Amino acid sequence: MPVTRKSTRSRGGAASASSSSAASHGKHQQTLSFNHRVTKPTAKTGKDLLVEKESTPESITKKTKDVKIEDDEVVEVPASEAESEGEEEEEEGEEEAHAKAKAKVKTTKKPATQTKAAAKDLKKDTKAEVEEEKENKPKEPERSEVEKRALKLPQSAIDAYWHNIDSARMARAVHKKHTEGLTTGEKVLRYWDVSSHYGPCIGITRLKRWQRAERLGLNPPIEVLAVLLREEQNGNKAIEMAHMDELMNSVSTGP
Amino acid sequence: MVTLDEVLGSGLLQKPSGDDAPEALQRQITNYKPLQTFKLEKTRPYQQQYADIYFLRLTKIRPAVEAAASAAWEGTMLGGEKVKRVERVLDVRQGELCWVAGTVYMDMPLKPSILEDVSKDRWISAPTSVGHYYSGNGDDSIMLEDDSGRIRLVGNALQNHFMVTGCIVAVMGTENANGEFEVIDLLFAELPPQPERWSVSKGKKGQEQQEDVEMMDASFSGNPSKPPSKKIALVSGLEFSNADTSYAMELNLLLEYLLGEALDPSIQHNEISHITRLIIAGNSISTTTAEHAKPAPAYDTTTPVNKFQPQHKKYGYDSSSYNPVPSQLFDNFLSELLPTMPVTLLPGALDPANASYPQQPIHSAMFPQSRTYMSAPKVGADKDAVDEEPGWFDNVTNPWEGEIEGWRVLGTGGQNLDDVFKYVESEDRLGMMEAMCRWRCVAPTAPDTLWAYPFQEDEPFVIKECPHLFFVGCQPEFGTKVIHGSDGQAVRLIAVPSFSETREVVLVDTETLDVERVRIVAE
Repeated sequence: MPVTRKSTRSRGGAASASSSSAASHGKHQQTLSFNHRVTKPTAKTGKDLLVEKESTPESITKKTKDVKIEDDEVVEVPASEAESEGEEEEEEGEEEAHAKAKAKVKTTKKPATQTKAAAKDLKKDTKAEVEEEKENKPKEPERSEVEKRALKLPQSAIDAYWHNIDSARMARAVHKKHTEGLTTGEKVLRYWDVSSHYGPCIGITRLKRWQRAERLGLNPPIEVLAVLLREEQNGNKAIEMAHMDELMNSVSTGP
Repeated sequence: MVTLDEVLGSGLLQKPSGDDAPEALQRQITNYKPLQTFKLEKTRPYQQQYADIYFLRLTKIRPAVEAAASAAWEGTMLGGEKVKRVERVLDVRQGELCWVAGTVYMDMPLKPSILEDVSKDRWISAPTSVGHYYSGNGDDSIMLEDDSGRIRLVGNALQNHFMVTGCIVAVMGTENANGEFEVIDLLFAELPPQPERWSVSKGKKGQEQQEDVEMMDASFSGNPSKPPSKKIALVSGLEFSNADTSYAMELNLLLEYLLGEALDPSIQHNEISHITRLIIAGNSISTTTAEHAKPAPAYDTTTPVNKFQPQHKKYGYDSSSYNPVPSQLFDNFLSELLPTMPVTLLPGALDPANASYPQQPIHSAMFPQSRTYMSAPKVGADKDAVDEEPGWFDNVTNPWEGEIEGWRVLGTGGQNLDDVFKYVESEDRLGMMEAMCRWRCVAPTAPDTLWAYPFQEDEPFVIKECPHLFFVGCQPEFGTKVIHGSDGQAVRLIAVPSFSETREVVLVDTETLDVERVRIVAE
């Protein structure tokens, strides 16, 4: 019997048996979870971590019971995390706003600060799990120092960087219509592609090219990494390869 | 019942006359540590562009070249004008004295060019081996290239140096009216920093060796407490084949020589027993009967009955053309030699390894008898893991880097030098080897005319640390030289001759890196 069938059966059974437990909407949970009843921060057991980690992505998509689960996670995570950076109060105070923002993270556009905070929360949750649980495979890869710095970069820094490049041009941009539909992030990435100092842009993903340039000591701009990681977190696959790569690989059909 | 003593007395059994049985000679062990510099992973992708190789090479060598150039040319005045450094090749202005660093590209009409072939709609399936790319009639042009563009180089200063596609160079000069760059002076990166002896296998071993060395210095040779100097044997081009047997006798004699069965006991004791390792540098198996092979006739004309019967046309791989005899002969050779001596095997151009540089080790399946001496092939999760202990029979990559008795050794099977040879007019192979060290690149012509793997993350052909010993196998004749660098580096260059041509073996002393040549002659 394949595993998936088994768990749906048991999930169905569990749902009918105990509807009050928080386990009812998780596909994987086969035991009663007492997480939601804990009100003070405690040391986490391995089982709790397993349960919580698997419920993290699901909590984003589901809307009803999300607030509750996220409350628990938000309360428990900073306690067990070594570096909380004094955000415990902030989190507890803005729980409701955060939870709401998190629930809508995939569907609506959000103001920059909340996005950043939500993204940071998400990252912190997963980081805590990664740090504490070495046996299981982490869902998100470990972030290096540079990547952490890049993720902290605000949108204003990226805008300022682009403004510097743009104003350094000797002539005005004549064909503005070609860049009308592009966001600043996309403009930064296209400028990154044509910066031949860091090597050819074709046949390599933008992120790998950035990491290679960093490894060779060429000091690539961190703003580019910030844009790349942000787009990666949003799940935007279109920006992985250079735009020129798509053009070069396209096959023309016709007479 | 007859006892042994009675038998002994009667003359049936006798002790050997003469001296006691000669004691078996022992071979010492050399400290051997191969490096995995040129090992590629088994599941490597081939999607990348080759331009990344040039970018990586330029980025890695450019700092060294520019440092050497600014040290040499900073503040130089020529005709009242000061030399300026220019960032990119295209920033050169006409009439302005400047210097710039970039990659050399040789534009030669005789060089096989994939773009030409594609545009003319010809498809080459196998590499056509043209003799020389160098035409010598002025059609060849040398260009300097970097990520911005390229510029043609002219001038008499270019004649004094070897130049091939892919070497990184800094040139000083000015742009003339034709848009070409007139070169007044040029510089290479020169030899990279050389590590200390025993740098890879450091620790106790180094200290023990130090004590031995001190003892040796204190006493002259002849002191019985002096440890005998160990030697490494280098051979290449054994070319076992079943078609060409002109050197088969010498191969047998070579085996006897290395085993210590040939010559008289004094030489065996003094010289041969000191040979502690054999390195085979390529071309061990020769399956080329190509010059004798005729294309299979479409009709079977051998017997009068079948004269007009069409022969079976075999599609795909014709297994009847595989000849297992050469690899069997080589396997026999190795299995007899291996019990007494460790062997390192580099693949060559004719060996059954992959065609592109860097060649990966020959698979252990080729050596059913010698396989027991190899380290076990790794399966499963450890497939790409580095082996802790090299096998007694170590099959390695071509080119290969390792440490033997503390000396850093770099060796190749000859394809890189043969390819460089096609670009230049001279016959001086040792000079080309020296040039490769000074360019800091083992295979500069890869990927232009030497097939190579499209490296994207890191290019291993750049020589980061200067070797103490650099050997190239399968050369037409023996040659050796010591070259020196500005920082006190010293490299022993050895061009190992092809055994099938010259019947020669090279012995290298592991203490002094002196070279001896042994010729095997069958009268």
